[in-house]
Amino acid sequence: MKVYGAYTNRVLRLNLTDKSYVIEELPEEWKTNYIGARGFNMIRLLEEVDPNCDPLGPENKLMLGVSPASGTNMPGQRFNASAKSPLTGILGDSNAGGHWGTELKYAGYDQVILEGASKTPVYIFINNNKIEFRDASHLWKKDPKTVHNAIRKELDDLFVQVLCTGIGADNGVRFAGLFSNIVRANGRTGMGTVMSSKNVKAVAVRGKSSVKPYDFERYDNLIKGLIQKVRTHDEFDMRTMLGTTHLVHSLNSTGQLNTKNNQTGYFEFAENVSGERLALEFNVKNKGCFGCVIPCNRYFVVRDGEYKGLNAEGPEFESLAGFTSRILNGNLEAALKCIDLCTEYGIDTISTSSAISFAMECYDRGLINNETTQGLDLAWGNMDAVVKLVHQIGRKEKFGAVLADGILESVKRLGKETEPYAMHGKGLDVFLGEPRGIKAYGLGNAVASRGADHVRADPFFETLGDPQRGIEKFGMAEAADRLSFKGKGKVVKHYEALCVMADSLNLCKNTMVSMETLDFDDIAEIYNALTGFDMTGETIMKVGERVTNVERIFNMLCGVRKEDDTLAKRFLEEPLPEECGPSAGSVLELEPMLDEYYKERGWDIETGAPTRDKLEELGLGKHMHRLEEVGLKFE
Amino acid sequence: MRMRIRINYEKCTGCRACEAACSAKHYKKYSPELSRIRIVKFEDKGTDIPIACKQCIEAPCVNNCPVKALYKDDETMATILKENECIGCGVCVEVCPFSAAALDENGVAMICDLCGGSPECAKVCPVNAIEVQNIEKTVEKKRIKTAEKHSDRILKKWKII
Repeated sequence: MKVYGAYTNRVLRLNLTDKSYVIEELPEEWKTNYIGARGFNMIRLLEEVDPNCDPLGPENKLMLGVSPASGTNMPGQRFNASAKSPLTGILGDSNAGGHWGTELKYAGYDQVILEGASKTPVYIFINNNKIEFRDASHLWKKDPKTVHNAIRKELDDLFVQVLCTGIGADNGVRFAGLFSNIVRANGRTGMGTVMSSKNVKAVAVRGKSSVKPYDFERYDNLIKGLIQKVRTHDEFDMRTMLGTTHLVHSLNSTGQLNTKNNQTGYFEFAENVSGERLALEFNVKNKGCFGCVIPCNRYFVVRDGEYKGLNAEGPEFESLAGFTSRILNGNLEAALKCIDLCTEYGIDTISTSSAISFAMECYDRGLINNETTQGLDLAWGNMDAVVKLVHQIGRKEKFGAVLADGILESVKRLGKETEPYAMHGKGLDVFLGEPRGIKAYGLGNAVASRGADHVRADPFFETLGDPQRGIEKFGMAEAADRLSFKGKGKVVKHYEALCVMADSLNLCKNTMVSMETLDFDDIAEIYNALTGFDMTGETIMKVGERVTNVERIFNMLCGVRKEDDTLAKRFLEEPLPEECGPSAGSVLELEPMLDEYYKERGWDIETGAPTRDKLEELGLGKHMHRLEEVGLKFE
Repeated sequence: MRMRIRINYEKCTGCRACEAACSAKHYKKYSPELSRIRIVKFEDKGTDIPIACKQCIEAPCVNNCPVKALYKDDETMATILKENECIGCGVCVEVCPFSAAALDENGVAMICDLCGGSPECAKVCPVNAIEVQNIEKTVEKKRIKTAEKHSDRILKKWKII
C-alpha cells in the first residue's frame, strides 16, 4: 500500500488554450527527492519548461505549489509560484504567506500547473473537485482589492481565497506579482506578469477537506513543541511588535541600510521612518498568515495629514526601506502611500523602488535629465515625483514605461554609462540590506538562483556575531563575523539548503531560519510524522542540495555562466563611506568567497557548473547531456 | 468552575491557528470546516472576527434540541453533545444567537465543549484575542473594582488619600 500521509497526491494541470484540465498523480520519487512546493516546482520547471521559451509565451508554465505541512497546525504557512521569469530570463520563483496556499491544500491539491494561454481574460475557480474557467473581462486591469471583492461577491462566498494580478501585470510590467488576501505578494521575478500573459486574472480556491498526517499524535506534538519554542524565544516580543521593520533602525545603526541607491549604509532620517515609529504612531493590530503564532504583520491607519484615511496591512522591511532610505525619503506617510500604490498596481516593491532609486542616481549625475524623465524632477527624496513615477510604472506610460521592463532593459534604454548605478544580480534588483556590511548575504545575493536575492540563503546567523557558534557550526570564528569573508561559502551553502527546506515545506523563514527554531534533524522528524517516510537530517539536507542543483542546471540552460554570479561593481569596489560606522571601509571580497562556495558545492571552480560526480551523487546525471549541448564540458 | 471563551475582536490577527487546533483536538486531523471556532476575515477592511460559543446558561441549543442530545456539564457548565444521539437536524444551528453552532462532515452538531476545561484555541492564540474567562472570578473582580471606587471616595473625604 502506498503511503500518502499529508500529501494529497494530486496535481491539477490546467490548459488555458482549450480550457481543459487533468488531475495527475504526484510522481512517487518526487516526494523524498523534492518534498514539496519549491522543490516540486523546480523539478517540473527543469523537466517541462523549455529554457529557451519566451517567458510571456504560451509555452511557459506557471506552477503553484504547496507542501505536505500546508493545512496542518504548522505556524505561518506559505506557497510558491514559479515559472521562467520575464524579468530575468532565468528561473522565476516567489513565495507568499497568507491563506491561499492552505486553501489549495484543503481543496485537495499539492500543485497546480497553468499551461498554454487563453484568448480572452478568464479566472479559474477551483471549488474542491469542481474546476471552472470563468470570464474575467470585467476584471482586466483592475487592482487586487477590486478583483478580490468582485470574485467573492460573484461566487457568493466570503471564504473563497483569491490569488490575482493587479493592474501592472495586465499592462505588461515585468516585475508584477501575484496577490492574495489583497496584500500578500508573490512579489519577485514577475510571476504576475506570467499569469497575465496567459490571460488569467485570478485563481480562486475553496477547499473543504482536511489534512491528516501519517502519524497524527506525533506530528501534533512536534508542532506544539515548535510553537512553544517560538513563543518563548527571546525575539518573540520584538518580532510581534515590529516584524521585520525592526531592521530599519538596527541595520542603520551599524551602517548596513541600503541608502541612496546603495551609495551608503547610513540614512540620516532613519528614525523618522523606522518600524518603531510605525508601531507607535500608526499600527492598530497584528495580522498573521495561516496558523501563525508570531504574527509579524501589522495593520496601519494614517489618522491625519495629506494621506489621512490610508489604511492597509503591512509593510514589511523591504517595502518600507525601499520607499524611504533607498530613495532618501524621510516622510513615512508618503512611503506608506507608495507601498499601497504598489499593491494597487500589483508590482514588486523591491524592483519598483530600485528602478526609482536607479533613475534618481542617474538624474543626480546628469546622465538623464528632465527631457528623459518627461518632466519629472527626480531629485533625491522628491516624493511628489516618486508617487507620479509609481503610477507611471504601473500604467507603463511616459518615463515609467522606460523602467517597467526591469533594470537590465532600463540600462539598455538609458545608455551604457548608467550601468554602474543598476544595483542588481542576474537582472534582479538587490534587497534593502547592504551586501558590503553582511558578507554572507553578499555572497548569497551573487549566487542566488533567482537573481540577486536575500531569502535564497538568508544567513541571519552571521549578524548575531557569536564567534563560539561560528566555530561550532562552521569550524571558524570568522563565519559568524558579518564583516569577514572567510567561511562564508560554507555558511551560504548551509543556509541555502535550510531555505530550500523552508520553501519546500512552505514554512516561514523568519520563524524557522532567522530564529533558528528547526535544524535538519527536526525537519526530518516532522516530515516523517507527516508522511510516513524515513528521512534523516542527512537526507533532508541532500534534498536542499538537490533542489539548488536542479535550479543551477535550469539557469545554465538559460545561459547563466560563472561570470553572472556577481553583483553591481559598486559592492565589489567602492568601500562603504565613513558615516557607516562599524561597517565603514568595507567592500565585498566576492572572488575568494565564490571559490570557497563552488568548492563546498562540488561545482567546477572554472565553469561554476556542477561536476559529473555531483550530478550523479544527487541522481541528476540524466540532465548532464543537456548541459553538454549548451557547451559545458564534463570530465 | 464556570468558564467561557472571551474574545477580543480587535486583537484577532486572522491567523486561524485556533481553527487548526480545534479540529485537531476533536477530529485528529486539520480542517477549518471541522472547527467550532471560526474566523470571518474582512480582507478589504482589515478586521478579523472570531465567531465562538458563549456557553449560555439557558442555552437555546440545549433547550431546543428535539432529542435532548445536548446538556450542560455540571462542573464547567460547558455544552456537551451526546454524539450518538444527535440526529443532525440543525435546530441548534438555527437557534444559536451567536452563530457559533455548525454541523460537521457527517452532519453531526459541532458545539464548543471547552475541550474539557482547557480550550486549545485559547492556548494557541498568539495575541490573547481568545482567552478563557472564569466567570465567578470575573464577577468578583468587577465587584471589587466598583467597591474600590466607593472606598476611595470615602478615603478622600476623610483626607487619608
